[in-house]
Formats: sequence, structure tokens, C-alpha cells
Amino acid sequence: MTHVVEVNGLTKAYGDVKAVNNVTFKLEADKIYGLLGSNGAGKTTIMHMLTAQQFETSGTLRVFGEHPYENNHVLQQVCFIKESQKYPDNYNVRDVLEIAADLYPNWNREFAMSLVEDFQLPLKRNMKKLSRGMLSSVGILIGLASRAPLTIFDEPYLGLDAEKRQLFYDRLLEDYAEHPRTILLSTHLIDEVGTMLEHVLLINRGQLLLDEETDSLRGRAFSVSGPAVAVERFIAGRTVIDRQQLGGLVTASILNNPGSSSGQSEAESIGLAVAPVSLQQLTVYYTRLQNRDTSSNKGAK
Amino acid sequence: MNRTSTVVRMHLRKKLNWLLVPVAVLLSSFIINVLIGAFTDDPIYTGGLSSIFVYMMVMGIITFAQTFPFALGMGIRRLDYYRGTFATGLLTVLVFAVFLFLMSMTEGKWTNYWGVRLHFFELPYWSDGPIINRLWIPFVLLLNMFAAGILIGTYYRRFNKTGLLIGALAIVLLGTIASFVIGLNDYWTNIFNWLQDQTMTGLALWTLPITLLFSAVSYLLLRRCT
Repeated sequence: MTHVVEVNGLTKAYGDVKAVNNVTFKLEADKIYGLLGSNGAGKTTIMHMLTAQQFETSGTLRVFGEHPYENNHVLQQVCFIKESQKYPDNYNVRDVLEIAADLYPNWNREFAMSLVEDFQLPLKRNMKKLSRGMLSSVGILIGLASRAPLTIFDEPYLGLDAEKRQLFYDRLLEDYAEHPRTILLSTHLIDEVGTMLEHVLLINRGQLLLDEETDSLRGRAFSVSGPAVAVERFIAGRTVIDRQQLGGLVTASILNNPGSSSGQSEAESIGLAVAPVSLQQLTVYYTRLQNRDTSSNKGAK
Repeated sequence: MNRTSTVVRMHLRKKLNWLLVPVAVLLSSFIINVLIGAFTDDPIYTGGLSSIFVYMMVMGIITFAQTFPFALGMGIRRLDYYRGTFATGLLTVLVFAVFLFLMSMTEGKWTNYWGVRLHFFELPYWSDGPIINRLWIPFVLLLNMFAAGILIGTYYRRFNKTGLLIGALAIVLLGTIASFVIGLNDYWTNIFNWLQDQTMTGLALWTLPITLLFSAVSYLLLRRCT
């Protein structure tokens, strides 16, 4: 089958600096992907290239089987909502929504209007006068109501409070269930969206570190907690990715060694409390691991 | 679905900015001149008309800066944006040309210079020649100004502040060298003689290839704008 997105050796270089370095991945239809990574990792650049708003230095790029540059067949199937989106100053919310309705073939007016109410958006207010949170709400609204086969959200909720963010997740999942599409979501609030993501792409320093189903990624690690002595004895010889102590109580996150069986039942048998490790912890671990490797490599040179 | 017409519709959501504002600027200058004319006996010749031409260039710059990042973010092709924006510009320029034509006729033919000897829309040299000149000459000149605005807008978007600075310096440098070379070879007299021989028709026709050049270059720049 053809993939919604196929990226091969994608690179974006600014002089010597490679913002995106030889990235290869594929997105399947009707799945929710998380594009994770720290600031400046290259997430936004990748998303811009997917929509031909920036140009790749090298590598190949296929969206719905074609290159997106100046390609209406591709572009009208993609809705890209970014935190930094600029709107004309003198356009009000209604203007922007009408234009979006004009542009996206699957736009649903009723859904859009219900979202206007949910997010309490003032239709007649100029975009220039919206608060940061309202501006984000407009983006989210367009991203949802456009029902584009490929919907890309890049940090869509700057300035949004927890209640509105939850509203976004709820509406997204509800609508996704009825109208499946491919969603690529980039965010820093990993634990908030962790349960939503089916597949994770982790980017650091322009390189792709992980490209894995969320469940299998979670299965790689677990955390144990209990009295310090018992925990210390248990974690000896295991890969510890995080360790926290509170009084005599230690919580340690452990990465399963490849090939060996998971130590969860063993931990339970000696009376330690076992819990899953959050996606956020795992991404932080892998990101730090790469940062350490690259800096120690530099030291060796 | 035609996405070029979507771009036109996008621009025309703000008809006020496209049409009423420049006309309001022009008319306010006009009214002040009429009032002055009412209090003086001398005929008044004024260049207030030029405001609409300057405005048309500003319009090109602002429109591009305001709407292009939005259009690109909404998945509009650069080509569709370009065509839709120029179509809107053409439409606006046409409306203004008809407006200027009617005002010129009203001033010179239908009222006796508004009864106050004010020459605002109908000026010597500018309005010389057949009546139809008063329609198409403003049209091609306004279009030229709009194309210049779009060119500046795309150039800035493509090359940023440093690019604009380098471009401006390059123009100044080339101008200096050119005027030096012209002076060295005593070409100035020829140039002024040529200019003196030109009618308004001739000058207006000369803007056509320039407008075409501006439009072509701005499209090439736009294709690489991000």
C-alpha cells in the first residue's frame, strides 16, 4: 500500500548546520502520530517541508505519493496548524474561518460552529486583538473542522489552559473516531497526549532517534519503587534510566535489556511496586543518551 | 475547485482596504484643494492626484506582507496566490482608472473646474491627447505601481532586511556609476531631449515592459519564498 507520507534521507542544511539530518520515515493512513523532541530538534522544519513551506536540501519527500511543492492535489488534503501561523491583521475570526471553509474540501460547517462555541471564540474580533490562547483556538478549530486526510499540529496550544487543552483532545478523538485521518502532532506536553498517540517519532538534533509503536516503546521499560535497600539490590546490573529518592523510598525506572525477559514479575515477587514508565521519561532518556554520546564523541576527537 | 478565485475572494473580503481607503485619501486631499480654491482667485494646479499612485504601491507591499504568510500556511499554492493577487490588483486598478476618468471629465468638461479653477484630475500634459488617454494611462500607471509594490514585497520576503539593504545599495551604486558614465560621455543632453519629446502616451507605454518585468521577477522570487 502507499503511505500518506514517505520521507527518505530528508535533510535541511543551513550552511554547516543540519537542522534536519538524513531523516527517513513513513506515515500510514488513519493513525495518530506523535512527533516528539526538544526545542530546535527539527520538528517544525520537517513539518514545513512536508507542506512545501520550506525546501529540503536533499532527500526525497512524498505526500500522498507526490511531492507537495505547488501541488494542489496534495496541498488541499493537508492541513498544517502551527503555533507561529500569521493571520492578516484586519481579518476577523469569521473571515479566517470562511477562507478555511473555501479551501478545505472536507470542511464541516456545523462542526466548526460547534467548536466556535466550545472554545468561546468571538467571531467578529480581529485576529490582531485575540489573546494568545484564542489565537491557538482558531488554529485548533481549523485543524479539526478541515478534516484533512493529513492533519498536522505543531505545538497547537500555546497559551491554552488545561481545560481547553482537554477540550482539544476530546474533540480530536471524538471526530477522529467518526472520520479517521492521519494526524501528526508535535508537542512538549508528552504525558498529556501520551495515551492518544499510536506511534512515536522522536527527533533530536535533526536526527530520528525512535520510530516505534507507542505500546512497544512503553513495554521497553517499567519503574519499581520500594525501600531503598530492596530497590538498590534489584536495580544492580540493570539499565536505570531514572532514579528518584524520597526519604527511604526509592523509585527507579528500568529499561529492559534487549533479549532478556522483563524483570517486572521478579520485582513484584520481592515486594516492590511496579508501574509503567511515562512516555515523557522515555523520550527524555533517549534524548539525553544521544546528547551524551555526541558530546563524548566530540571529546574523543 | 478553483483556488485562484479563492485567493481573489480572500482579498475581496477586505474591499474597504482595497477601494475605499485610497479613494478617501484622494478625496480628502481634493476637498481641501476645493476649499482653498474657493478662497483664492488664482487657478490651482496640484499634484494631489499622485497619492493614489503611491497608495497603489503601498497596497502591493502591505497586501503581500499580510496575506502571503497566511495563504501559504493555509496550503495555497504560490502560483494560485500570485494569480489571485494580481487579478485582485487588476480589478482594483480598473475601478480606480474609471473613477479617475470620470473625475477628470467632471472637472474639465462637465463642471468648469468645480467652479473654483481647481486643476486636480485634469492637468496639462497629464491629460493631453485624446479623451481615452484619461482612462488607459492611469490604468497602466496604477498597474505599474502595484507590480512594483508586489516586487518589493516578494523581494523582502525572499531576502529579508539584509537583502533589501543590499538591493538598495546596489541600486544607488548602479545609479551613481550610470550617471557618472552618462556625464563622462555627455549623454545628458540627449536624454533630456528624448524625455522632452515624449508625450504622456509614450511614457505610459514605456511602463508596460517594466510592469511585465516586475511581474515576472516577482513571480520567480515568489516561487522560492518560504
